[in-house]
Amino acid sequence: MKSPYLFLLFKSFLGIVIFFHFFMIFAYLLPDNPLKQQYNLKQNPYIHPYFEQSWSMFAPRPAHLNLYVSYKFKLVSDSDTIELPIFNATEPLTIDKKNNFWSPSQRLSKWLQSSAQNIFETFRENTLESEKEKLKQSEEFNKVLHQSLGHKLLVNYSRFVLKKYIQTNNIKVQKYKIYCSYIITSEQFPMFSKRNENFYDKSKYTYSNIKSGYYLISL
Amino acid sequence: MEINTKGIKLFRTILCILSIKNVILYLPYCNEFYGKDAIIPYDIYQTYIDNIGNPLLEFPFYIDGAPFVFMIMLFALSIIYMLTGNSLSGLVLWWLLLIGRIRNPWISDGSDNVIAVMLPILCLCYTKTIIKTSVINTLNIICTTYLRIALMIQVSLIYFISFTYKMQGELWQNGTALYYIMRVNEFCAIPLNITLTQNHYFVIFATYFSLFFQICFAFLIWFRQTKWIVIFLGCIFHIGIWIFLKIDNFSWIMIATYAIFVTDKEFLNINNYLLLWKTKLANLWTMYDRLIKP
Repeated sequence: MKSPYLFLLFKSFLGIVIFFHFFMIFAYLLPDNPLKQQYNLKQNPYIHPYFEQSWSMFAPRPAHLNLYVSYKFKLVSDSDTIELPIFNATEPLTIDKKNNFWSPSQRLSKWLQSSAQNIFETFRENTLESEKEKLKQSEEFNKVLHQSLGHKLLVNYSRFVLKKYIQTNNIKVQKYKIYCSYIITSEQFPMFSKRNENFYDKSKYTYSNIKSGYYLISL
Repeated sequence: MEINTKGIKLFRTILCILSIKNVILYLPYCNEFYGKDAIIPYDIYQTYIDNIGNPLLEFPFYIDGAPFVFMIMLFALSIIYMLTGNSLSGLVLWWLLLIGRIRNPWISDGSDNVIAVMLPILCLCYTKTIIKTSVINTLNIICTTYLRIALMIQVSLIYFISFTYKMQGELWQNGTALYYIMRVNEFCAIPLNITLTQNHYFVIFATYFSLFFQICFAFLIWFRQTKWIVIFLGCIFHIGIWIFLKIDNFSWIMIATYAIFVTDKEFLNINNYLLLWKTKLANLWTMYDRLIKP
């Protein structure tokens, strides 16, 4: 085969491959539409996991509230029960992130936020607006929580929080069964229309909580 | 045939530096991020790999010391790929980064996303100097030319898709989105954010500027006449994100992607221009020196 034909063939091949690649990615990335649902483009095996990408940063609804994750621990033995103080897991990471130019807390904080966000989203997706407050009090609530990956991750993360506490306070917990519960607090600062109010005055903020039940963990 | 490799090399260098920086920063936490008892349980990773059905994506993180070895491999490959531009090292680096992302997806940020989508294309580019004309060399030149276009499409796609998602949001439509983003604890990097967001002109202008820039970039970057304007706006946009929201890696990698859009001839012109200014400044300094000294 003469070179010009070879080059032309090669160019055509590359053109087709690049066109196919970006056509698939474009179809996958477009916001939800009927064609995407019809051809199940969201679960495309060409994209997952090799070319998976998401560019919905701060969209469609940008981050608009602060989420804090706190933990409660109960150490239970045959003879006694000890309740440890509540640990705010988010705050130290935020402070560390702000005080250091580069810090691994950036990733950990993002991870913690994503876990909490995931629980919030599961809660929102599975519950009607009118039922939310009622459900928060009920047994059913834990069932909704269990559906989320965020729940599994937050329970898992409790081990790291407790380990750190045990190390710094030199506590022995071998004889205890350890139960943990987490609380996600959402903190909503004043809306745009009230932007001139004192941002640092937390009494102007609105708060809501999601509390989990107690789960047995092992260190 | 013209081949533009300087931009690709520059982008590759910055990408590898960021990868090296990440490894150094996260090495002490490798067990918490990737190990057997990591913050994401191992069985979630295992289930995901089983669903995909590709055993090559499984790294034995459950073995003691494996996360450390994983990080060292990332470090070594980043250095090798940065210095040599060897396709195989780039491909293995991409594969390892992919494994890391699957092991713990929620610790990855926007910059990891950019690296993950650019690297498989980037590593196939041929960036060595071609002296002799041969069939293989011509094929390499064609391949690199086409892949450079693919990289450019990918960058444009990032901005275009980001724009389409933002346009669906009410807060983006009414121009107040940046008020909330800049005040949220996670992104409120400096106290100036609060002062700035008290000014509604700033909030609305900055929100619409973000949207305007993203849609403009996707199309105007392709024209010689408008390319430098969008590159300039892009630098302002990402430096702003870095300063006000403290999203560092993403800002740097996005600015680095602009190098791909610059041709070798343009790099040469920039270099000549900088040299000219250096000479002018040196002359000025000499004049100043003569005036000061008796």
